Amino acid sequence: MNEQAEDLQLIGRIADRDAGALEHLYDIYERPVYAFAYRLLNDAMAAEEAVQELFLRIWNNAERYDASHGKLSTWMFALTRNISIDMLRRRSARAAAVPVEDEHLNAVLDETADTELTVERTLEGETVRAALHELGEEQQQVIDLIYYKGLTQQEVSDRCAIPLGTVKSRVRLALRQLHKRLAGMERGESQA
Amino acid sequence: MNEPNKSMAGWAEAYVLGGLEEAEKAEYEAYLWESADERQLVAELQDTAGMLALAVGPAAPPAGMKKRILANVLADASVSPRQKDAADTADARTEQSLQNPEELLEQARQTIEAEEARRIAEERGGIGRIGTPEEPAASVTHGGSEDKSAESIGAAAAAAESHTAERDRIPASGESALPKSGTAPIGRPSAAQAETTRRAARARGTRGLWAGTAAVMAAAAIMLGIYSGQLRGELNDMRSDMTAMQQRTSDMERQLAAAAQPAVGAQVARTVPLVGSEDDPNASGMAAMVKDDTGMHLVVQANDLPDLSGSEAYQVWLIKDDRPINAGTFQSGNGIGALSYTMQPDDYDMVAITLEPDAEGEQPRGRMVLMGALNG
Repeated sequence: MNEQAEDLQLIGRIADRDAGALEHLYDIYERPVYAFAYRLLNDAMAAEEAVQELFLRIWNNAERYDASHGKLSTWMFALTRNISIDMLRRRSARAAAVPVEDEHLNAVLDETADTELTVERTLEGETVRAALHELGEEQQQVIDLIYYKGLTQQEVSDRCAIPLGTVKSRVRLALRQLHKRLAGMERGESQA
Repeated sequence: MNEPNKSMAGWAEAYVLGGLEEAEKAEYEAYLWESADERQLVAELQDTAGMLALAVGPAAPPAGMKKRILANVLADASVSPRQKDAADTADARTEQSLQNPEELLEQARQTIEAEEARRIAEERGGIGRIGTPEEPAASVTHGGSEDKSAESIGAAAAAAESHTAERDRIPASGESALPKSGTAPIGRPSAAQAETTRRAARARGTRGLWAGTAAVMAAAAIMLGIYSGQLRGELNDMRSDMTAMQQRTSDMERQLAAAAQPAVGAQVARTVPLVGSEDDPNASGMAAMVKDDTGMHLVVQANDLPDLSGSEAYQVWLIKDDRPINAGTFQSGNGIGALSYTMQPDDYDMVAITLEPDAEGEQPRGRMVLMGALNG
């Protein structure tokens, strides 16, 4: 069974309220979604809250996953991002925003979790990082500000004093280039 | 209708990255509904954007996160990890104290016995200084040697039985807890008379053994008390769950009964005009949200709809965060159709009507004919 068929079967079982299937999904995605939420929120407790909210939404709305809209991992990461960015906005609404830097205080690889899946994910991560580094600095900057920090194009334009049209074209070019570079991975082809 | 919308060229990239303003996003999503090609493009680009999540550095999840999250999610609890942490710690403590009462009881007994042995040894020393060395042995040798005296609660009880006269001096069980038994008045026998000393020694030995027995019993009573308290708590929880379930059942029965009754005082919460798509500019309609005692209902009415053929049907959708919720299908007659749907109140973005190949779909497959924005 390929990855997508497995995902569909798994999400179908979760929609049928199969707790074992939810746990299986959790085991597969715990690390990447936590690492992603942690990258966005830079706070271990908040990242855990985001992951909990993610699995709560999946548990209650699994039937809403539509494979024609993309891979299951895409859906989960998009949900994680929405949840985390919402939390960031609420946080910044409560207090003056503190600049979030890439301080991975707990960025420690758990040696015991060195499974095949982890290795595969690490390779995928390296491929994506390599693709990101191939972009120009300006393009990397807009990806960072929009995708990882939750700003809109308009906000990037305002904050960095770059014309909105320039921001838009950088976004477009960056995504197109990444898409071209990562097309194989998107289809679930092995990168190893 | 799938012609590229020039004004929205390049929006797909910003959309999947999350860079559009709210208004732009709503506008673009409305456009997505109309363009299958654009939807396809977005699906592909979304996978690319999704992979950016994998580019982050590793971060090890906190210890116990899986247990906390799965427990909360499966219980459908909306407790934050912070609150849960505190609750978990308290639970763990209670659990630990209740998990194995027998084991803890045994521990308590051993502690008491050890304390008793120590006390007897001390007493022997004390008595040796002031009286005959045989006396203490006499008071504790019912079970055999002195050393064994501390091993058997039964023997201690037997020893106590033979000294009923001394019972009056035994403290009440509530006071005979461990610390007190260890602080028996060792140095008290200061009388020179041997008889008094012997009596005092016997009394101490008996009292100590009784204190040990009583302490074990007290520990058992406390454990059982806690255990039964826990059981009572669980029973109360189950009772309150049952009461809640009964309440829900009766609420649902009332709702069902109310649903069968004519609406009383129904109020229109809002109305939204439905606008025809580019392909169906003449189609028009109205969506109303009507609230009554039985809940919120979506009432949709449409005119000048294109004729259906074969098994085709119109399907109504409530859309929130790009996710369409099926609100039912209907067949039109002479271009007119209507439908009502009892909806879950929520902040929906849009109501839409699509022309579907049949009435069985759970996801939109056909083209959009009418739409109205709810988030405007």
